[in-house]
Order: sequence, then C-alpha cells, then structure tokens
Amino acid sequence: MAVEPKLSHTAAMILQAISAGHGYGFSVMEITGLPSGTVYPAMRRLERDELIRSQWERQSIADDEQRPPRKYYKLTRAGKTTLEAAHKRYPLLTRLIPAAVATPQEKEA
Amino acid sequence: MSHRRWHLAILRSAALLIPRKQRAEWLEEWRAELWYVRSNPTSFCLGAFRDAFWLLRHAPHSLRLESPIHCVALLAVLAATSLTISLPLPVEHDPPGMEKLVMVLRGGYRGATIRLEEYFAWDNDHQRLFTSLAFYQPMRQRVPMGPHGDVDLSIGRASDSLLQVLNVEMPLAHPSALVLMPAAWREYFGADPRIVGRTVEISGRQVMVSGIMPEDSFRLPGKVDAWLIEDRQTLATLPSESKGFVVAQLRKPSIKRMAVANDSGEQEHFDCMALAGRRNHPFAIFLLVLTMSGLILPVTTSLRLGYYPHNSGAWRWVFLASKLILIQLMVYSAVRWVAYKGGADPGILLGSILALRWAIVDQRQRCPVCLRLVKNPVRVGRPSQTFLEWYGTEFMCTKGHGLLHVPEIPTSCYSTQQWLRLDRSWSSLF
Repeated sequence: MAVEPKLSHTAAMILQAISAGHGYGFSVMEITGLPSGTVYPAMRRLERDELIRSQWERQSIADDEQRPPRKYYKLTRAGKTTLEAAHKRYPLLTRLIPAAVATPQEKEA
Repeated sequence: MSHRRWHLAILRSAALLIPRKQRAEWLEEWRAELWYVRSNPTSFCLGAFRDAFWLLRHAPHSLRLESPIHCVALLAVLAATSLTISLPLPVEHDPPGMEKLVMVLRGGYRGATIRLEEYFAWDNDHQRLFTSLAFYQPMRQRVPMGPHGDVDLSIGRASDSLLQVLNVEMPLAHPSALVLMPAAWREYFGADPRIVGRTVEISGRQVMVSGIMPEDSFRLPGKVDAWLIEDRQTLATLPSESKGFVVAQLRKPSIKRMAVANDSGEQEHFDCMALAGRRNHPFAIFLLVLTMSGLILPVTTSLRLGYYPHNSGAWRWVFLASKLILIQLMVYSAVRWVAYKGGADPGILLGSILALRWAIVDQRQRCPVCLRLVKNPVRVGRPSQTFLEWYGTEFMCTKGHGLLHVPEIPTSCYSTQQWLRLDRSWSSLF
C-alpha cells in the first residue's frame, strides 16, 4: 500500500490554495499570507514530491493582457489524494481558503 | 538606481545560486511574479534567496560535504591554494635603503602642514640634514583615460625628487609625468602595459604616463593611485602657501627633530618621523580580524554544539579544530592579498565571521561517531499539542549511529539539540 506523505500545516495551506485556483506563486502568497521565502521553496518541494506540477501559460494569453507570461501550478492526482487526507487532519483548511477563482487551466480552456 | 532595477538586481544575484540549467527559467518565473507585486517588492525579492538556497541544496549534483574526509580535504585544498598565491606576495618587508626615510611633521601633527615655500627653502639648503628631500600634495582628480573611460584617481602631486627619495629609478617626461601605483594600474587599467606613454589631461595640462611604480617600492602613508611628478618650475606655479607633506632621506638616522628659524626670527621645531617599519603587518591585521570575529560570532550564532554522550569521541573536536584552522589560513591569505592590493577591506571580517559560523553550524549537523552529516529530517510532535507546528526535527545518521533531535525552541525537555545513540540492536535497520 502506498504511503501518503504527511503535510505540515503550511504545505497543506499551499496545496489547498493551489487546489482552490490560486495557481500562481504570488496568488498563493496573497491568499495564505505567507512570505515569498516560504511559499516558493514549499512549492518546489511539493513539485519534487509530485503533488503539484507546473506549466508556463501560453504567450498569446499574456500578450493579450499585456503582461509577462506566468508559470502556474496545479495539483496532480497524488496531490488531490494527499490534500483530501490533509483535510481530515486540518479540518479548517477549506474554510480558511475556499475555492473562489477559476483555476488557470480553466481560464485557458 | 531605479526601484525596478534594484529589484531585478536582487533577483539576478539570487539566480547566481541556481544551477545553470534551471537558472533562466527560475529567473523568468520570479520576474513574471514581481510584475504583480505592488506592496513591499523588496521583501518579495529577498525571499528569492531562500528559494535559491533550497534549489541549491537539492540540486542533483550539488557539492555535498557529507563525508568529514571530503570536507577537510576540500578546505585543505582551498587553504593550500590561497596560501600558495598569497605567501609570495611582497607585503611584509620594506625595500632596502628606507631605514633613514622620514616624514617631516610640524609639531608632531600628521596632516599636510608643510608649506610649499618652506619646502623650497629647505631644498635649497638641505645637505646638512638630508641627502634628498621631496614634497607632495594629495588631490582627487577625475582623469579621462581614453578606452579605459574616466577614472577617479587619488593623485599625489610631487616634486621630481620623490623618486630619488624612494630609491626608484625611472625615466620621466618633463615638465610633468604621471607614474601609476601598481595596485591602481591593475584595478583601473587591467594591468594594460600600453597605458605607459599615453598622454592624459590633469588640471588642464597634458601629462604623459611615464611608468608604473615597482611592486616592491616603498608606499608612503595615505592612499595614492598615481604620482604626478613635476619639476621645480611647474611645482612653483602652486600658491606658496599650499600645504603638503615632506619626506626625506636623513644624512644621519639619529636625527629626530630639527629647528628652523621662521620669518619672525623664532625657532620652529619639526619632528622627523621614521617611516620604515611602520607598515601594518598582515599577521597583526589577521590577529585583529580573528579577535573581532571571536567577539562578534557569539552575538550572531549560538556556539552551543548540543548535548552529546560523554564517550562520543575526541575526533569530533579534532575535526572541528581542523576546520577552524584551515578557515583561518584562508582568512590569513585574504589579509595578505588585501595588504598587497594596498587597501582595507571590511569584507574580510564579514567573510571570517560567516566561515566560522558555517564551521559551527556544520559541526552541529554531524554524527559524533562517524562525523558524517546527518540526513533524512523528520518533523516530530503533533501540532495540536503545542502552539508550534512541531516540537522539533529529528535527523538520522545514515550509518545507524543515532538520532539527532533539534528542538524548534528550547523547552524543559530539550533545551538544546540532543544526540540519541543507537546501540547494536538497531543495526539490522541500517
């Protein structure tokens, strides 16, 4: 049986934020209130553990909005399973960070 | 520098820590995110260093000093290399013939106090006391240097007898010649030999660069990047009240003071301060840096190495002492290098403190038995039982010698990090 990684509260908050549609590093910072020096290394760790994956958005989308293209993050299947387990451990997570915005992939669609 | 440039400079500095393959993409992501940051962008950018350090630590082929032998070997190679470079540098001894070199001081005051007219008067009748006598006056000038751009130089405007006083032989252009100090030649002109013979404009006059002072020539007090050597007629165009320094070679080394009758007929006394042997010895500077580091280090870093079993072995201390000694050898080399370059660099003190801090922190993260870095950090404790997320972190010696418990904050159970030694019954797990 595969062992699900146990997340710290901070990592769970970041995973929840990404799941809720805050798919960019700075958006995660804004919604969680965590500093950049915490959020980005945590996202690297989550990506290394294959709980999230990153992708650059299309240049045309950024050009339309006259801004630089951003790298967005989304949950993998393992990430979703781990987040569900984290919800049991930290029941207030969904109330702290409710799903509020369309995910980047939804925007792109 | 504009705010945006400043923030990009921070990100670029952090990017230097990133492995080359990932660097461009990493920097692009941070730059793109910075575009959205409206409040406190500096704090946002400084967080990039933490991210960069994380990536550096977890790079697949990053330099791992896990083994104590590798760690000491690397430090030994660095120390040997730095000593090989720095020991041959001529920084300790004065050149020969400087035993009778003195600076003439009015009333013992070490500033520029000698008037040009006084120098001319002494120069006319110096045979009784001095074999040679020279005047110089420091000034700051922005000098256009052609392909090297405009350079801010500390120029010593000096009489043409200066080179004789310093025992330097060099053909000079007349009536004015510029002689560069070796350190300035390297720093501002990249040791370009073609600079000699070039004509530059100083104070509205065309002056030829006549040469570079020899590496082992005597350095007079104060920072001088170049000497503007002028003959007597040109120097006399300065106001007679201009003040400067007078250096001289004494006829007899026993002369400590001289008395000169001034305009009102009163005797005025001047001190003859010997200049030889007054250079800051690199070892004395090194001892100062070492003392300052020792005083500052406890303020910046906890020196406690944690609680270890009494029988944890003396090799731990030998290893720590080896690291500290090798680091100090590198600091000594850096001091010699800075002394050779002819300046003072507070970066040496900072570097010494950071290196000592690394040695202490590294020591805390090593198994007391095999001295390898402990690995596999696991956070322990349940978040619901404390206001912290975790009590602390446990590391493991990969050889199975024990567990290292590092508390998040000092508690009644764990005031400092503790080592739990595992006996042979645990060996089957490793």
